[in-house]
Amino acid sequence: MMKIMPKEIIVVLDSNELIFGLIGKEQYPKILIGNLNKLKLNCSFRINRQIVKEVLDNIPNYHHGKFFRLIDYGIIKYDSKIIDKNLLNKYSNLKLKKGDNVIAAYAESVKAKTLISENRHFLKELKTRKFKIVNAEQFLKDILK
Amino acid sequence: MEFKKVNITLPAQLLEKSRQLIDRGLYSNFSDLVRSSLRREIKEDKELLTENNEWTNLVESIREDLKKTELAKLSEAEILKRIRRSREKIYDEDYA
Repeated sequence: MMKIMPKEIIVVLDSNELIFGLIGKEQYPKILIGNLNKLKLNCSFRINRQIVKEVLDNIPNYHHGKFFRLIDYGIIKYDSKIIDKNLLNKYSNLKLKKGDNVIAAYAESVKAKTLISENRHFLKELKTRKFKIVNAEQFLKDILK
Repeated sequence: MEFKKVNITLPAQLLEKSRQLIDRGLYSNFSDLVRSSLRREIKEDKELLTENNEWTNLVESIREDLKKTELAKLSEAEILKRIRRSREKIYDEDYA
């Protein structure tokens, strides 16, 4: 039984979750991406320009069309804006790797409650009270509790 | 249209709230309320099922496509490394 959560919990999906989930080899990202349509009843899933560009950079060009269709579907909301420099600097100062600061700053900018990522650097090193960072396995366990 | 009679068991509180809606004139009687509620529920469930199928089909179709690519042959660590390279490159394009 799915745990009843308040509506519109904002959740940022890192590019690795999308890529793993779409390849479908890793168990938990596969379950997560395959069930976003059901999870959206409780969560608002977000991605930004950096995340989309990373996905496009890693899947072959001739599959980009279907990826855009997935975004157009509206279950994952796409923000195309560049991140504000002050917010970006805040996360750069936390010694995040290049580009990870963009994802963390984006999560804060949309007031995300959770960032889902398989990026171990994020999971281990970023300690912030602004949002929780979990991998797909942990996210699914939390939501299905 | 053929009609059939059914007996239903409800929590007392739900029945009381239903009566209030009827008293306020939103439904002509209890049968009217149940019929309207069921029609609405069936319509919403149908829309949800259609949407769920479309999403599942699209995700499955992308998975089928990606199965044939080099990306699917890489290990989890190799894919993470590739994404890291993309992340840094895109960061340089947009923010450096």
